[in-house]
Amino acid sequence: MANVSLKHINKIYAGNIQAVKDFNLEIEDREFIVLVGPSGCGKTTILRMIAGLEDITSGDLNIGEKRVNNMAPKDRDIAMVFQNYALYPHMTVYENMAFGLKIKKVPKKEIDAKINEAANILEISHLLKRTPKALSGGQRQRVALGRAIVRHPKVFLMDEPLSNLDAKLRVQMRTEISKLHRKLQTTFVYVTHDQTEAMTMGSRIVIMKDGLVQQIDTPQNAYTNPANLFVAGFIGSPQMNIYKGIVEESREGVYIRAADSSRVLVSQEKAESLKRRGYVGREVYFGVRPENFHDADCDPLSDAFSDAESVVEVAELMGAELYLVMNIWGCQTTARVEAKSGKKAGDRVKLHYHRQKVYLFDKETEMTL
Amino acid sequence: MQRTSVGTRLGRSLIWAGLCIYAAGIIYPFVWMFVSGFKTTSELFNNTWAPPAHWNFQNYVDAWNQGVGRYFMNSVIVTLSTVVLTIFISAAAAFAMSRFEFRGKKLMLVFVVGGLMLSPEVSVISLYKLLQDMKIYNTYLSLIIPYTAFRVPFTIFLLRSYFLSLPREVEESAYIDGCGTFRVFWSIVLPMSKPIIATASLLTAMAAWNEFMFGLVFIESDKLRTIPVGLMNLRGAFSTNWAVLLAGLSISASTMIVFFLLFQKKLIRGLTEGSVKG
Repeated sequence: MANVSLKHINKIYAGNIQAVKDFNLEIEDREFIVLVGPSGCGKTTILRMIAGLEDITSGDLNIGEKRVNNMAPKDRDIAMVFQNYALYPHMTVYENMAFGLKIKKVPKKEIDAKINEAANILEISHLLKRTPKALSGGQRQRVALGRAIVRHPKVFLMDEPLSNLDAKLRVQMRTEISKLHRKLQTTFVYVTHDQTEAMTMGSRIVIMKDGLVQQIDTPQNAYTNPANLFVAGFIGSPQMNIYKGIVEESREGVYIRAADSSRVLVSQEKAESLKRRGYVGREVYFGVRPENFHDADCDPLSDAFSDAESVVEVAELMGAELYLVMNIWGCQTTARVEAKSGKKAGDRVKLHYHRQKVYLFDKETEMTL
Repeated sequence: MQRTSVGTRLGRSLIWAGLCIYAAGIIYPFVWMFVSGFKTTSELFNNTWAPPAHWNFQNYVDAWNQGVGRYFMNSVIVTLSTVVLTIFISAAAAFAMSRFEFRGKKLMLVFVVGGLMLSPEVSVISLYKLLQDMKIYNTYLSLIIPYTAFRVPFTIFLLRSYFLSLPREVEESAYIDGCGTFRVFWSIVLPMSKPIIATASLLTAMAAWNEFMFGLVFIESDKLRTIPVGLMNLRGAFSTNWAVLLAGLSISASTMIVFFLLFQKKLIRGLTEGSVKG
């Protein structure tokens, strides 16, 4: 158990390709940190630098009290789970799990006890004599987790461990990894490109893009208060609808003129802020999450709302919810309404949206206003 | 089960027939040699194609006693040493060349590939002088070292491309588990490469077992001769006991055939691995 501290970490590959730019993060002991972002954002590079599989170009990496920049992976007391499991194909499940302990010269009895304990937790006791070839994807991933658990490392590193599993198994393993974290009370650093995994598992998430940190926050905060346009679009599924518009002012107050010339009203507070900061007459991005649109016919809102109308192009029934795809404010928009709305393609629909849930972003910096 | 059409079955039969003829073309000469080893010399000339009237094991016993036994053991020693040395050197070199970045890596690869182009015949005289200067002329080493040297380039080539295809994460996993570089090589990479090592061993063994020229030039003493050169001794200056010679040849050839049959499965896997996802 240990905290991990990354200060001003840079990674520059041959050919002057900068994969990570000035990365700073303090990971508390027993925290579950999720690094999330699209492919090529540098999240795996950071994980590999913590593991010691990748050199750090500049900056300081501490695990516990020790600076580990130049320490070999084996001396860092970490365990890593890889996307493709990376089990030793020529060893049985038992040998796979015992390998690390054998190298550390742990007595055989102790190895036995540790493996049995881990196998019980992961329900793989019956597989110990098989080789990885004879296991399914889910079982292999459990063995990979088991191999990490038996070593009781200070830090668990996981590199997209669920990406190779099918959808159903992924949901199941997601829960199991969360449970495992609670049980082991160890620091977890988890890399994924899947925002759902990030939202559901992390105690804090680090959202990255092009080697730069976009936001470090709790999942809830990243969702409700995204730092910028990228985070707003990345977190949440289906993703936030983003529009372009010009801030205008009339006698009724400040509003946004959308691309199709309709007026989009925002909350009083936001309107004042826009005016105060001199955004009137300037172009901005604004966004509304699909779940913040409501079918006026079946879901009347009590707080301040406005309307938008359009014709449904595609209606996707997801069970409890219905996704309506249509053109609003000059852009393709997804609205997530209740299934009882029952709208079909071709229907005209009137949508309510919360004014205070309209997100505003600067056109140049893309930062949240 | 899907029913196969007449056309498909006919096509398959033709392929089968073709392969059977091909197999017969390879197997028959060997069987003839093996069977003829049981004949007397006069029977061999008078009744060339017929099976022996009397199955006479004496030729095999004679061949063995006339030196084939000793040559056989010499060949075993030289071949085994060559295989072990070649595999170890090549695997270590291929591992370094497929895993580490170092100055002159590309040049080294070119150098190794260049070794593939070198023909053994060209180097006989210089090697002869070199071996004499090194005082290992007319010893097992005078064969083991040149054989290894000539097999290493191809073996590195073979192993390196295989190592490159191995998933890197497995090794990284081992590093995290506490291995150093040598341990990763020894406990992870080598066991994972069994099929290709079997292939490389067999190819090296065949080359060393059947090699004739170096065996003839670098060994003077009859006691140290390998089997291909030793068999020449069974040919007398004035008369040759052909049946005994055929028996000796059969002993020599069957060793490699048995070896091949034992490793066949691994060999084929080694040759096709990489093209098929495991």
